[in-house]
Amino acid sequence: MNESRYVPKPDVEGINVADADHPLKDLAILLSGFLVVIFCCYWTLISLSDWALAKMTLQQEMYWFNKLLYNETPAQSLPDAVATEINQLIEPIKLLVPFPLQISLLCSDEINALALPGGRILLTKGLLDKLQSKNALMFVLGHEAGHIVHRDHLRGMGRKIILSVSAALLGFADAGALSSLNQTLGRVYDRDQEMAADAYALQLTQTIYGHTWGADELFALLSDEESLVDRTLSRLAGTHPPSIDRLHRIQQSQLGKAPILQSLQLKNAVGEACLASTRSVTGLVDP
Amino acid sequence: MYDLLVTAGLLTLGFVVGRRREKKHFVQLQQREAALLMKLPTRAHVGQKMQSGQTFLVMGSVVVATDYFKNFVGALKSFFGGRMQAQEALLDRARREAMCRMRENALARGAVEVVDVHIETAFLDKKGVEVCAYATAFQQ
Repeated sequence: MNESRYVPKPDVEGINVADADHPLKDLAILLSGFLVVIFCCYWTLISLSDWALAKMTLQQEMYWFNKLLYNETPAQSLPDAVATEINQLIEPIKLLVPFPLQISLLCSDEINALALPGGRILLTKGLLDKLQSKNALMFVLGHEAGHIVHRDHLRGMGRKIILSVSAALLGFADAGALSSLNQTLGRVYDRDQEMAADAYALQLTQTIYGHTWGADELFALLSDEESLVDRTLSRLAGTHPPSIDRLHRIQQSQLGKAPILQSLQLKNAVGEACLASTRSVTGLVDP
Repeated sequence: MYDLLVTAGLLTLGFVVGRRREKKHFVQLQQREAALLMKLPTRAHVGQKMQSGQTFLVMGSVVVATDYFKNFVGALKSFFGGRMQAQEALLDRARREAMCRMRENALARGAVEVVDVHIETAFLDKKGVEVCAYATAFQQ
């Protein structure tokens, strides 16, 4: 009887490693599928959120946020000098916007303005320091009022809550790239909102003054500080369009000869109000 | 946006460097396996018992790190299911390297053959894999 012998033989190379697809092709297919899933979920949830929030009227929003939320943290009154000036300034805009304007001062050197749920507009000290004309401030107020009228602030809040909760539920809360992707997807929407708010502000400025001269002052300031890299990044994935683009759009609406604009006299009074205040958010003009 | 750029950069780095090292490692493994195949004595007959000599334990282990590209593709794969090709290559490399080290260890200690080979695998969370091969070596 012949005995079998043990003869070592090499393994066939690659038998244990699948070499069906190139890794990059594999990645492309997987990533495309994943992005389709994310897009579908994102748009479905956002549409649901927008639909639900659109059901809330401005009056309901004012009631809920002002009576229920802000009631616990009443703001201090602004010094008379600032309050009188702002009250005079917003007198014409009060008749044009469909909600009671409430303006607060944020003691920050950043040049910014914010629209909050409940119809509140926050103006920073840095903004009021830099703006030279009443027309420029009117455009800023009109822009923030536009966000409130278009319900952008509520939709933005709804989107952020949905994205955070979804990311946490899917286990992506700590995945920087995915959360960044979500934010980038949302920013296309944000830019449209910014352009619509600009258009609303221009219309208000035109109605109040009969022209839009001075409305471009803020963007002229911001575009000076904007580098080419900032502009490119803003165009690709910023929450706001680059200031230079917005400046050009406003300038296209300015016809005829530039009139003499009324100067804004708030700088000193605002500085004193912030020095006297112990809180970062101070002063409320609540006509 | 910056997060996306960093992720794209890490993916490219992981793909280029990881793939290059993987190819190089596979070439080395082929050469070492071929050399070991010739050097290790073979059994003349199945079931032949050793009449004299010693038996002892030999072991070889390796820890191979994964790369960003493999982790990323693996995470997507676990979402949809399917064969994890990138991880197959990683585990194959680790297994063969551990086997080579174990057999080289046996040869260095004068063994004529190794029997009863066991392979154990441990995963280092998202960082890599450890494979340990151990066997009984015979020395005449």
